[in-house]
Amino acid sequence: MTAPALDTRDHVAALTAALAHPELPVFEYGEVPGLNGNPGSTPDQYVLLQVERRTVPNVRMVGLASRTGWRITVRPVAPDATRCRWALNHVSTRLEGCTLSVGGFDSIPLQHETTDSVTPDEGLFSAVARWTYSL
Amino acid sequence: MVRVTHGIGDLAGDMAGVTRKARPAMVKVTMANARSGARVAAGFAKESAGRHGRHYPKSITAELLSVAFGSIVAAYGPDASKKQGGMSFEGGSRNQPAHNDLAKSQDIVGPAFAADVHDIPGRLFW
Repeated sequence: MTAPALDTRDHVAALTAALAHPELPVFEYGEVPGLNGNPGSTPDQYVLLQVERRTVPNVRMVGLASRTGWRITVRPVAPDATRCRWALNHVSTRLEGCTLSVGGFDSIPLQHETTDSVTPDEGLFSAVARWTYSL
Repeated sequence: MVRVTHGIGDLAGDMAGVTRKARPAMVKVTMANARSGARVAAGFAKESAGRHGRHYPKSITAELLSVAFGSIVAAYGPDASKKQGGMSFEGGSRNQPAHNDLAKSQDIVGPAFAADVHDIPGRLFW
């Protein structure tokens, strides 16, 4: 069996669906409307999502891996601390223990790694939280 | 004539020595893994920090924080007193993705540290 679900785009799609909320759109860095030359207007509040493959110790003698490990970094952004805390709570509630279906494979429940508190961020407020999972 | 010998005396001696050797062994393993974590994290940081963060990898150091009864604590990470040690590369910002250099290092060092701790008791008896 080869390493499953290698396309990060599939992971982003699954996570975006898991986090769906009419008032809290999800973007990857560089894709926020109104920023970095993107068309449209910047939402009041939004979530930035990073998906990275991570090392999973391979106990086999050959180089093949039958599972892949992933780390997601989620950054809610809002104009004030109160709304940012609400956004962080929304993200945490949706992701804690969530299982994802990616590329036909089901993940283990997402495991929380770290959360940094809401802090000022270049004129707005943001927090950052990380989860890991494998499938 | 049947001669019977035993190593119970040796075992008794080893066990008496364990209480003397255990803590230094644990401190050594803990610090070795903290230094290893710092090296691995600095390696990731060299790739991710770019030219504007070229001093940041060297700011990642390890230190022993506490050797108290029942607990040995070491830490590694960017030292804010060193050049660029206070920069926010790890967590990023709304305009800069998180580099996650420390987090990535923990993926490697965490299991290695657990294995090293597991090996300590066996080494104490040899």
